[in-house]
Amino acid sequence: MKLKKLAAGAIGAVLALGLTACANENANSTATTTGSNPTSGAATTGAPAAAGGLVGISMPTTTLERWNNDGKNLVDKLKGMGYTTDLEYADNKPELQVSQLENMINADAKVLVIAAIDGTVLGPVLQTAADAGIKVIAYDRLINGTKNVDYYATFDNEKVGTLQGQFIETQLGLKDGKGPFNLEPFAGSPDDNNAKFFFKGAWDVLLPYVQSGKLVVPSGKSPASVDEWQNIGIQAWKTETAQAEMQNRLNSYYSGGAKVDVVLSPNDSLALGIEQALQGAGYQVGTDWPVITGQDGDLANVKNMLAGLQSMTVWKDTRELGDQAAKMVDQIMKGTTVDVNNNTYDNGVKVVPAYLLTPKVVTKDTVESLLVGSGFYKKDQLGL
Amino acid sequence: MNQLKDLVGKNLRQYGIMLALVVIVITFAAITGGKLVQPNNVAALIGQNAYVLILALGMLLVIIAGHIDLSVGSGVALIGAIIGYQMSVWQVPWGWAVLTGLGVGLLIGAWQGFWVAFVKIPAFVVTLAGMLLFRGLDQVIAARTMASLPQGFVNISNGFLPRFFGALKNPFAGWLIPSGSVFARNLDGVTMAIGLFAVLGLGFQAWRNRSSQKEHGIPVPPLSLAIVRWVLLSIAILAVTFVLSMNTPGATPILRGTPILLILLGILILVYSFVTSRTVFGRHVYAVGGNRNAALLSGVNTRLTDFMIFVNMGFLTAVAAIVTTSRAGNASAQAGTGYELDAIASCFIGGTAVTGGIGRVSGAMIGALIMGVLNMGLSIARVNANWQMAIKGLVLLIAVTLDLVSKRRSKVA
Repeated sequence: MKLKKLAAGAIGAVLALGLTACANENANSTATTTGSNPTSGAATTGAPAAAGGLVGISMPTTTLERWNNDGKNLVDKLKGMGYTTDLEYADNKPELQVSQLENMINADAKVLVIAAIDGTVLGPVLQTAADAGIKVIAYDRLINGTKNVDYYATFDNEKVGTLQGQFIETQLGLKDGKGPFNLEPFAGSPDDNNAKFFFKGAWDVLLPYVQSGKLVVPSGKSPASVDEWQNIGIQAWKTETAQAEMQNRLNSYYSGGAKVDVVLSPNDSLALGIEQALQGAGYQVGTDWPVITGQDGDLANVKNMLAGLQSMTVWKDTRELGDQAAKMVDQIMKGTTVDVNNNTYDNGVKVVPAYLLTPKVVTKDTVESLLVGSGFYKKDQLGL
Repeated sequence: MNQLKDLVGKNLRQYGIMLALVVIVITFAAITGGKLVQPNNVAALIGQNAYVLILALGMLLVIIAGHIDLSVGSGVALIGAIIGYQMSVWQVPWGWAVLTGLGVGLLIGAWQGFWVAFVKIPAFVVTLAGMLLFRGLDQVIAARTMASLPQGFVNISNGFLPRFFGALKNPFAGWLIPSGSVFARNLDGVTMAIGLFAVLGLGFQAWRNRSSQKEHGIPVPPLSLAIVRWVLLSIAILAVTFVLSMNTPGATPILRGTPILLILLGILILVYSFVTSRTVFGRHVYAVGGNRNAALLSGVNTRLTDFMIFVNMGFLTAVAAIVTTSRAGNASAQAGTGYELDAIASCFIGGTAVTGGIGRVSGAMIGALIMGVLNMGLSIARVNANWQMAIKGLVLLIAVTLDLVSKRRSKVA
């Protein structure tokens, strides 16, 4: 009897531990909420000018390094501008985030900056905020299903793909009419809406060259249009699936002696598997290693870039996002026009005026200036 | 005559799922214009599916005993993370990392075995908890993907045996196979020798079984049938080794030889075939799964049997983790997701009974290969990722249905 109770307790504890860990998965770097549907929307605010007000910042969790950095950066910026801040982390629990927001509203916050855990459950609490005249900025992730979200600050997902496509374009000299080159394109998880935007950006650049024959896809895995991107999607962004897929393509379509010249990989986890498959097939850096794209600046991939195994990664500097959000808070507080540059993010109720930041291309040569210089990685982490 | 019909029926039943594998291979070889069975793809098939083959060996015992293990995917991830962390952060020798990985596997197995066997918590609950627990710990350790693992470690899954015997001239090149074809390459001597050894071993084993059965007065099938069976299996084994021996890196004609993984898998499969059919422990597992109370009353230590089944599963989880991490060349938090279902599916496709008590190593291995061939065939045939999943689901259902229906029919007859 005693033992049974003990066991029940232990399993309870184990379940709680495991579930917390699972929830953290949601905060993946390539997984932010987006929407489409172009419409137009104005972007000014009527809030009274009042320097020194309270800004509530609600972040998902302290277990991911990035949110710790995001929170600290925002607080530093806003304090520097003379505002007081209330930064709360909600342990990845949506209901905790709601109560923390209620507390901020009761504390007379003027603006709320929210990185939502679940973008669909904040409707009621944001109605309370709107009734109190509080402005809301959705940070990194869109808040859905409510009219009470005023602005959205995030990175431009389509631009990620565009940068990858343009990098390939310049590296191979496609604009100068060079070619034909052998291309193997990959896309992200078929169930991830962002994956479509990544692919669209890249394919809009590359498809014309495929059509003109300057880029050849020996495996035939070449979507005829952006809408067919799922045909080459890698389920759940899994590295090992990408490795097996690349292995199959190399073994089946390159046995005649043709070589891959370039691989379009939407992110770093796929690129890692593709690079492993290429090594297994005997490709060597310096002789026949192809151009490979990526995204996120994962540590393993940055190391691979330094070793010549990956050509580039598209990197989102989240501190820039913090700077932008702080600027928007300041503009709201001062009652001036709030900077927005995009009116296509529809949250199901309205189009949220958004400011999209442009991600950066990092190559072997700019690892040190961009990733180390910004403090994203330390030199010894990269073996520099 | 009736006896012969009975024998053919019995054999067909036993080999039904093998026939399904052959049909699937031929179908996809046809669809892909022969690409599926090219030497490099055959070598890749082993690497891509080694983890399922290994996990299915352990899962087979778990399911035969009437349990289930949902934690193996997370277990693979956790052990992979522990191995990877030691090698990339602490820079320990890879042999040591591998040993500690195996140790952690045994601990994980003992932990789950304790709850199942001694506290009598249903395995479903214990391993569901394990699935969450191990995944959580894995994410703590592998918060960042750890790459650049030592070459010696990476070679476990990506390396090849030394080519002691050099290359043999392909006897079919030039006349049966046009000389430019990938099937007209030279043959690796070591690979062919291993194939020959397997064929002879199989024959010897069958002959010994037969004489021992005769000795004990057990009726044996006619000699002609036994020979036909041996010849058919030999042709299959030699055909696979023939193709495999021509595998090369990329499009180059330089032979690579036998994958190290193949030897590891071969040893594991032999050992587990022996354990399930020839050892006291193996018979106890079947007895416990067939009728737990009867086993208990006959003096089987059911608790110890249950405990050891999970310890064994933990050990094989560690082996799968080593193989997976080595193949990927990195340890990441997302490793191993869905592996438990792959292993469970392989067992069921291979004729293991959901209710326990029934199941064979060969069946589970063929089940795993059916899934592997489907994955590779659909990929080469350029089928959309969404449809790949849907088609896999249907083919699995059909394969198992055909197998079960044929078994039922022969039981009625």
